[in-house]
Amino acid sequence: MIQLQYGDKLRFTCSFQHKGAAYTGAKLHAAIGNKGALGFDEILNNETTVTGIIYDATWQTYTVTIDVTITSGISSGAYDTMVKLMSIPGSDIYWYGTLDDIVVVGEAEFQSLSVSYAKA
Amino acid sequence: MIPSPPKKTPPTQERIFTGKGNYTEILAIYTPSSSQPGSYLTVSTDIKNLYAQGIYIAASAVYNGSQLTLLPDYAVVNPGVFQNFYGSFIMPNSSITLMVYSWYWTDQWVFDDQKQIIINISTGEAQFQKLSVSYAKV
Repeated sequence: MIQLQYGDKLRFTCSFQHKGAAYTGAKLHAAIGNKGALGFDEILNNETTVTGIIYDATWQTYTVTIDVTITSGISSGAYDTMVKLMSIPGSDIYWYGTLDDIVVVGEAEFQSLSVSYAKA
Repeated sequence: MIPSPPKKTPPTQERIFTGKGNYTEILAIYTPSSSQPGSYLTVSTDIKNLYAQGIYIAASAVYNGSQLTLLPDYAVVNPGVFQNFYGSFIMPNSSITLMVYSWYWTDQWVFDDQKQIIINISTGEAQFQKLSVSYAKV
């Protein structure tokens, strides 16, 4: 579990394999949100275009990082993560993180003020 | 016993694209126009006897500086008839120019005709797999 506050960044380190023709335009899209039965509800996200994919006859591994900044656009709570490799030949390739592994602490919160009094 | 033809590039290069030799003509070279690196390729060629009598004909080939053996080593070919010679090789990582040479026998192997064909590299569509991710606070 990773605790994050507003202003923090969550860095996704993404690896995938490629072979065949050189390719431009592939994108990696990372998101923090809620994974549900109907899909992944994104709240914060970022994406990057992958460059430098060259021809190779055999599978080659590429590693790319994406940072998602934690902003006030997300409330305090536990969240899920998702990354997809998109704009590639064929279907997008998805990756999902462990559920509720991201906990956003958010702004300072106060509660349960209690008071007692007595003659002094 | 007739020896095998010389397995090297003939010394004369000016016959490129002259059409036919004095006694033989390379009618055709059969290869794919493109291939992926590492693919096993078969090449064959039809060589015709232009002479009025039967002669011994042989063939050899070179691509990117590599010698390619064509079989049979040689053949007796009747006048007006062609003989097929064939060989195989592994496609390298770049496009190649394949040179094919024909030879006829008198008291030695004499280089006679020459043709070339280009085989382009085919890289295939880009493929992706195995997305894996780790994350950390920075």
